[in-house]
Amino acid sequence: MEFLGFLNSGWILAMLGASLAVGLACVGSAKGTGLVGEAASGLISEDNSKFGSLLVLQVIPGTQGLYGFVVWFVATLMKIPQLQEQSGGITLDQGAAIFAACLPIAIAGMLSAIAQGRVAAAGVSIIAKKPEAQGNSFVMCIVVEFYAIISFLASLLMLFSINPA
Amino acid sequence: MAIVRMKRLRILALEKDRSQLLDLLQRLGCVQIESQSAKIGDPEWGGLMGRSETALEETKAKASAVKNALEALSKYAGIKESMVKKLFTARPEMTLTELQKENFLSEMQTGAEEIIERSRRITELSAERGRTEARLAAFLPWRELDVPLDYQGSKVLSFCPGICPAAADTGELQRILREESSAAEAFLVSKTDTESYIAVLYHPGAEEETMNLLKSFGFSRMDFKDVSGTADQNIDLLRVKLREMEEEQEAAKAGLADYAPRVNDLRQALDALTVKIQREEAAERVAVCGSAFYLEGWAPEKVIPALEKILSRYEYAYESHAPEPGEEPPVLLQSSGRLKKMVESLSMVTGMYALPKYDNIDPNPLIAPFYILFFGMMYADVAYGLILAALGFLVTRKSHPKGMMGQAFRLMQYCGLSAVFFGFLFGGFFSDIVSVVGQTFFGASDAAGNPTWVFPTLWINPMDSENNGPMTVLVFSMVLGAIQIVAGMIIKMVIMIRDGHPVAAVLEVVPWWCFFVSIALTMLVGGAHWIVGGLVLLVLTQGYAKKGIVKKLFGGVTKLYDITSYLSDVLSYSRLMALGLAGGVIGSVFNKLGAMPATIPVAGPVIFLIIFIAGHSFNFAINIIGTYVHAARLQYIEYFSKFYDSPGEPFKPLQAATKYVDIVERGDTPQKA
Repeated sequence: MEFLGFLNSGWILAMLGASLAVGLACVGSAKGTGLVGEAASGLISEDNSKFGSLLVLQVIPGTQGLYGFVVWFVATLMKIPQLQEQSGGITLDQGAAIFAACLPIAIAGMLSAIAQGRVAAAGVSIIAKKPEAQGNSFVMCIVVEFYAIISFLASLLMLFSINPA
Repeated sequence: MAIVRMKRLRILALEKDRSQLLDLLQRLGCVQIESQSAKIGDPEWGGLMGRSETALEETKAKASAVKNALEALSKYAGIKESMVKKLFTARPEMTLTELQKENFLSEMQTGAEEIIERSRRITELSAERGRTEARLAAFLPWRELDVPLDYQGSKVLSFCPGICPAAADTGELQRILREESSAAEAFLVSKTDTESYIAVLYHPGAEEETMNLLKSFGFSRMDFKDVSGTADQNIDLLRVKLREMEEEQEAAKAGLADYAPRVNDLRQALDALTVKIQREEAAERVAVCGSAFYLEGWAPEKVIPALEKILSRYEYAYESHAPEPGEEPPVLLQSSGRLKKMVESLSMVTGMYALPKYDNIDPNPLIAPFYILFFGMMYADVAYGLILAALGFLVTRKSHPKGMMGQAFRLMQYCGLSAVFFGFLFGGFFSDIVSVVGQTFFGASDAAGNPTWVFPTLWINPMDSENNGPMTVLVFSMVLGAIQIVAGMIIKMVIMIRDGHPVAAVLEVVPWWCFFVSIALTMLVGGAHWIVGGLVLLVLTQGYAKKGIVKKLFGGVTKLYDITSYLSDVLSYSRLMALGLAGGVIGSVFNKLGAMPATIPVAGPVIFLIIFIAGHSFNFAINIIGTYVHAARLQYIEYFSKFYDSPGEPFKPLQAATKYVDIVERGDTPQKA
């Protein structure tokens, strides 16, 4: 940790991690939902009765952004104040730990949202051609979701495990 | 609780009885008719029989007319099918005979044609209005010109309207014409971003030089063919025309609205036609030979007596026999007993994967306890569960949904109750709303800042990391997973013994159990000899199907690779904890978010309520999708891989499948006749 010694406290690292968690995950979700939105608009222009199922498809890659936000929330509004209160500040170790804890959802959240967006965008054509198989298109999206969920959970459990020095 | 036993049917009856007979079979709803087109195409058979004549095309045309009429009504008369209303209102009940009354159908047909005629007129008018508006737009730039557009000039004066690109300098054009031409003058009528509209007057003798001068400015002449009067007069005329068309269109739309009360009749007619199409499609599948027709298909064993009763009214030749080797009977899953409805609702989960093969096993009762348990564990919230169960109960009660929808809403009730159960175990009620409300609005917290209002947690809170909550629930998840995997192996063993391979059954499954026990012993008691013994047992037994000692041993060694698949299977059940925890944490973050501005007087609680409703609605919905899919996935990948043999061909009997009415039997069905 010495090379980070120029930082007087871990606070800045902790904040940086939290902002990456919400920022990158939201970038992924924006990209993912955007992909689906583009694909869905084509279909809606011809048949807007499918709007309901298309909307469900579109919001599915949006959950990663939410997970990132929850991690940000837990880090900045629960964990950091708790540490500051109990030990009068955040040590470099604690800050680095919070930073590390934020990484899973930042990285996996962003990339899984984009991957899921692709699946969902392809699912739009399932709904267009074979509306009765729309359930299957949801299923294939949710398979991707799982990896966002475990990285989200990894972030959360790591955050919860950081204790006052 | 099983895959329904099927019998192969062959029926030969008189062609003149065909439509009546098919009608009765449709009411019975239990006979799958197979297409004979392969046989008709076969030269040996083809000489003996041919395709049947049906009114399928005609009926389809009629149905599509009614469908178009309904679409026109929803488009122009604002009659929409509201999803919510559909879920909570019962469909009208009627018998097939009532549904298919001839005079009602022909009356509806006429109505549909009138509606289509009107909607066609509306579309025509829209197109015509578009064209007229385009013409009107062409006149607009010439508005300022008070010369009739068809003005032909006189012996000494020629008139020529035209356009230049906007980039051309019109002032320069006017100057050059005035100075260099012997007798010409240009007037700028109007100018837009792209074009300048110019009227040119010149002496007929100077036509050529004028035109040459104009050409250098990119001038091109406009011809107003079939136009008389000034631009302004034309514009007025077209506006009047547009108004008339608009009025006619409005009148036509209002006329369509008069049909609104008949929309239910039309829907009923569409159902009647759909039923007829289903019958005609079945008729297409039989073969005709002279004055007789031949039908081949499948029927459940237990409806054979009812079927024979129907046939006995006619002249027929008939045989039925159990499926022969090589024949692949269609699969119908049916349960019996007290849990029939619960078990059959799982058809929805099975159906999304694939039906079992005819000689496999009905998976519904086998996945029912696991699916419902897993769903509850992942959804674990008392409030969410109650809402889900109530929703399922109300919709089932009110609209009696059929098929997949019916199964879904029934399954929702059981899964909801299971979520309530786990909600109590894990202490979730809208996540932690009780504590948050207590702390925020009633100051219910102790000296250390911990909430004193707490929803009862009967076992452990998975979010409580201080008490090892996440770890405990994780281990519990994997234990549940191990139980399901072992259950899958037992089922495999039972199927193999049932099919007459008892030795193979034991060899396939039991060594693995010994191996699992050996791992447990190594970990708990200690000593590597346990696990080595387990491995040796696997190597010795798992290649049993191969020939020769070497191949047997080699086969056993390669089977060791399956250890990783068992390991990943068990790990996969960690999603039970992951999804449950994720949903809980997100819910609690919404609660805390809402509580933040709660100190603001008056507005605070309102904001809290808004965030609470929006956040939990979102969490509720997104978790249903995730939980539904992941609970199903555990059945498909981890459980089915142990014993399930698919896909089987689904049983598709000739029946009356309707969308807007419920078909009921009121004594006019053959079963009770």
